[in-house]
Amino acid sequence: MAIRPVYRPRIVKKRTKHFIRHQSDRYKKLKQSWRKPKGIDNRVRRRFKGQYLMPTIGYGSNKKTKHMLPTGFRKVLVHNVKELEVLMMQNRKFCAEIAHAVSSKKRKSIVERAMQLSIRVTNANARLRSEENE
Amino acid sequence: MSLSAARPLISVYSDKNEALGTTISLPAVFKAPIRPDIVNFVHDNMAKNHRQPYCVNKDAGHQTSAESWGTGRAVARIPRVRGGGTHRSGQGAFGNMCRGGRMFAPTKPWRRWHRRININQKRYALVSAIAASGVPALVMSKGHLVQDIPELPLVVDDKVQEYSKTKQAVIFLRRIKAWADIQKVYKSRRFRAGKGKMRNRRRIQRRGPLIIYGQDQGLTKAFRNIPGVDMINVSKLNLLKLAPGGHVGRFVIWTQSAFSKLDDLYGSWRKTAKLKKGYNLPMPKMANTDLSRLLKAEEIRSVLRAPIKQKRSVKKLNPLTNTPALLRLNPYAAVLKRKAILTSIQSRRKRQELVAKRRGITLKPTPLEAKALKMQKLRRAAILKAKAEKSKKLKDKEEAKPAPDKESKESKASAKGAKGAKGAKGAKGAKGPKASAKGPKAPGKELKAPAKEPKASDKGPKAPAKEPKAPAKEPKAPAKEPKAPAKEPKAPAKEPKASDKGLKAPAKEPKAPTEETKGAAEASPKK
Amino acid sequence: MSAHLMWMIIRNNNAYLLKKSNIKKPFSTESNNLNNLSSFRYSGLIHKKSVGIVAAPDNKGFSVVYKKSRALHKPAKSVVRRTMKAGPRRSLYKLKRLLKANKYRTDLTKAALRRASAVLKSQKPLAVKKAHAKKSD
Repeated sequence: MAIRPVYRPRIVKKRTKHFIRHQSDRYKKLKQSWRKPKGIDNRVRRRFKGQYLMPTIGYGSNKKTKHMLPTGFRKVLVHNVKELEVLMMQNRKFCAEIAHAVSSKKRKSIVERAMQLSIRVTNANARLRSEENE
Repeated sequence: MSLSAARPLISVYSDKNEALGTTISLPAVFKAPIRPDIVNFVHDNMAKNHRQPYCVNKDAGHQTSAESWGTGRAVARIPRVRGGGTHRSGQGAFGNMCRGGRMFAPTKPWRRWHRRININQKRYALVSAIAASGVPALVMSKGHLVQDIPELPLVVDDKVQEYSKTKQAVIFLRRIKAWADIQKVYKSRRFRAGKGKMRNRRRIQRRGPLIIYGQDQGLTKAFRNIPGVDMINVSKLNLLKLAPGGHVGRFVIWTQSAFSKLDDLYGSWRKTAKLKKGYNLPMPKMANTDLSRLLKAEEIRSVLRAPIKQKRSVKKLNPLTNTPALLRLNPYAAVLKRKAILTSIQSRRKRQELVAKRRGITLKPTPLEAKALKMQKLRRAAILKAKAEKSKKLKDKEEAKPAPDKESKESKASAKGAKGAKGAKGAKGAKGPKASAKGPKAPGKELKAPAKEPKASDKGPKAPAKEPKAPAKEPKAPAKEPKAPAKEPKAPAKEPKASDKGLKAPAKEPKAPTEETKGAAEASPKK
Repeated sequence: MSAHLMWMIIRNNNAYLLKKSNIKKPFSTESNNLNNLSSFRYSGLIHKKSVGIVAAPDNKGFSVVYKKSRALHKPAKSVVRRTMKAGPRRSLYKLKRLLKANKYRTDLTKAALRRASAVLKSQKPLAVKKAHAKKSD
């Protein structure tokens, strides 16, 4: 039985689409990542109808659900078993995520210890199937 | 912290980690106020004082005769290199954005490299750092492994100053249990992260203990090759060593001569320092820093406003729909409700039975009933067993000393009853000794049995003779309701018992299946 | 020195502070911190009395580590370690009594019990998962 969070509210995202940069559709040199337009005549900056929306604080998430995963946990990046032990008493509030650079050998020990402490691991299955597949 | 704080005696330890017996009263410095802000500030500025000036060549990027072309040429107005005949001509120059231009705000050798720090501030910082080195919590919080050392502040015999070999030093550190801290240093040796590697700061490691001596008689040479260990003379204490990184709480090992010199060096609040001109320890801002005690003090509480306690609004609940609310108003409602449920179940069952009877079907026991039956069976077996054992014991006793035959006979009978499936008779026979032995318990146990009987009899195919049921019902209801006074069930319990017994004799057919499961097996085919 | 003052010194900078991205309250890795949270109450360093629960050396049962408030300046003598391995029911009861009867940090009793039972739980053999039919790749 997977460990469940203590508190699992309904997570409301006010907007799920990305905010994209003005004119990033027009020029390849402009990446999609948001940059606030600064030009004096810029229509996005002036919030004209039919233009891209600009991010504002109003889109912010509820504090209680901010950074919360759909499971109701907040994730803590974990590099080794010692960092995992810290979550022992908060295993229903935080879940662990094993850092990307951790080898499969050490991953195994982390996942095993997490099972004992009943800490949820988001990426427990990563790097597990190597030998069977090859 | 406070001026009046007691100054405990600090014992001196030999190099073999034994208390020598000599004690020094704690120097007043160790009670000085600890001000991390001052320590940080002073450390910050002191750390700047061993910097060497550097800068770029002042002419770098300015060694051309570039001049701007001005407007009207459809190029930027940056200065451009004069002339022709080479690629360089016409290229931008001087600007920090230009290739070959100078850097932005070129560094100058006259930057303010060093800082003057007020001497009193420096002393304040030093005093703070020394005081913090005597508090285990602060030393531990800095990451030093001091959990096994005998005492903090750690003062050792002056013999350590005479060490001249590293081997001796290592043995000493091992014995005083400071070696764990050095092992941590060994473990921490690594390459620096980032660009510092290419700037002659390649390797890094933790700091270990700091050894403060009164006189160097070979000590520095003995200890200097142990990684992480620093040595300084008491009269030349250095904040950079005592509070590395600007954070207080370094693990310090004092030699006795160094430790006893501290009072002369820093004096106390009453006495000025002997070795410094006109220096007294800084006064603490607060005499008592224990917040929880302050908040409990009557003097403070009497001045403070009473806390505003907000009343929590009570949610009104409808007792007709919300059971806990109903129970709060009328605790007896629980009994009533339960009764209603039970009677409804019973009547439903009765109806079902009637229908079943008309159709000629035998009803299966409901899971609840089945469970009750099973439990009853188990309990009965357990009781019989217990009785058998008891009677055995009695028998043994009686054999030991001659006793009235009656009882022994009865017990024998009961033993037989337990083994053989004589059931009812066996139980009856056993009642004699049991009642005498257990006294008050017996009726209580009996009570349960009849309570379940009506159910059992329900199951028993066509058992429901009304006579056993009716009396049995009564005890059942109160038995299940927890709040009903205990007396009631007992009183009726006896009656049904009696009636059961009475029934047993005349109307054995309906009774038998309920009384004994084996009997039930036999009885059922009869019907 | 009062615990409050020490906390003010330690609070923002110590060797055991563990901050994680997007989580506001920092963790703490020191021993004797029951919840591994960096806070005044749970800090294992600053208080005269502190409680820690760790797994027993042989990983059967747990040990209670607590401080003798009298030997505050003698680190080697201040720590008491009691191993409890008489089964959860008994040892948890013992732990509760240890902390409550002497009024030794009654505010930490609940946390200590929680941690102890978490330790005990971690020592149980893992329930074998019912193997769902593995998809053959």
